[in-house]
Amino acid sequence: MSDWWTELSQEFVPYLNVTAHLDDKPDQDLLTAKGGSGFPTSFFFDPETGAVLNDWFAPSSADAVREVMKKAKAKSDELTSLRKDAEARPDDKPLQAELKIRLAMMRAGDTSIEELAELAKTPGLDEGLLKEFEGWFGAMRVEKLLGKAQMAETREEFEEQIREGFHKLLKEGVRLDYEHQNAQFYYAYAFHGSVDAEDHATAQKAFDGYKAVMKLLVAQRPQYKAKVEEDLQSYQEALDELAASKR
Amino acid sequence: MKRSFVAGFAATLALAALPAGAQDANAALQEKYEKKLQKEFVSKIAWAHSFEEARATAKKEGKLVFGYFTRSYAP
Repeated sequence: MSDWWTELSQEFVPYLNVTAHLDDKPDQDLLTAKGGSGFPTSFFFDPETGAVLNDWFAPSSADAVREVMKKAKAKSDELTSLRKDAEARPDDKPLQAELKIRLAMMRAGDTSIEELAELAKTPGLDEGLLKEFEGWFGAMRVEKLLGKAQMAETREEFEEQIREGFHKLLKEGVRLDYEHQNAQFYYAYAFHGSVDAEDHATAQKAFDGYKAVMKLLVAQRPQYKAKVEEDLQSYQEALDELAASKR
Repeated sequence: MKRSFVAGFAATLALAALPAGAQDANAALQEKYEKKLQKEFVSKIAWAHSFEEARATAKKEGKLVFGYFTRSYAP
C-alpha cells in the first residue's frame, strides 16, 4: 500500500471489514445492511449515527479520497444539524419524520419500512425529499422482496416469487434507477411476470426499462452489443405475441 | 486466563459438533482470513476491526469513519 494512503489514514478512523464466511468474525452482515454489494467497497460513515455518507468508491489517490471525504463531512454536518433541530423541537412532526426518513435513506436508524411509508405521508414534508424517498423506497421494496425470495428452497420457487412480485411492484409504479445494481434483474423478471399475467401494459413498461438498462451496459461494454440485441429481439417477440393474443 | 480457556473450550466443542468436511472447510476459511490480515495494507495501518469501536474512536477524535470492505475467501 502506498505511503500516501498510510499518511491519509490519520485524517479519519480506518475500519476494516473482512467478509470471511466464518460465524465468529465481527460485523459480517454490515456491508449488506449499509447497502453495499461487491468487493472491495469503501464508505465514509457518520460516527454518531452510523449513516453512510457517500456512494461506494475506490480509493485511487489522496486527492480523490479527500474530495469524497470533504463531501462526506458536509453531509455529516448537515445530519448533525438536523438531529440537533429535531432534538430541540420534539413536537415538530415534519421535522421528526424528515430525520427518520433521511437516516433510513443513509442506512441508519431503526425505523421499519412500514413506518417509513406512514411517515412519508406527514403533511409539510419537503417535495424534494419526498421525491428522493420515493425512489429509495421502491428500491427497498425490491430488495426486501428479493431477500424473501432468496429463502425459497428451489430455484423454480425463487423465480416464481420474483416474477410475480416484480410484476406487481412495476404495475404499482415502482421504478428503479437504470444504474441501480438490481435494475437489470428487476426489469427482466418484471417482464416475465407480466407475460405470465398476460399484462401487456406492464410488460411494455418492463421492456422499456430493460432496454434502458441494456443501453447503459452496451455503452460500458460494447463487446456485449450483439448478445444484447439478440436478447432484446426475443423480448420484443414475446411482447408482440402477447399483444396478438390480446386482440 | 480462565475466560480464554472457557472460550477456547467452547470453540473446541463447537468444532467437534461439525462433520469432518465442514471442519476442513472452516479451517481453510480461517487460514484465508489470517492471510488477509497479514497483508501489507492491513498491517501498515491501525484499522479498527469492529464498527462500534471505530465509531466510538471517531466520536472521540471528531473524525469520520472510513470503512473498507473486502473478503478473505476469494482473491
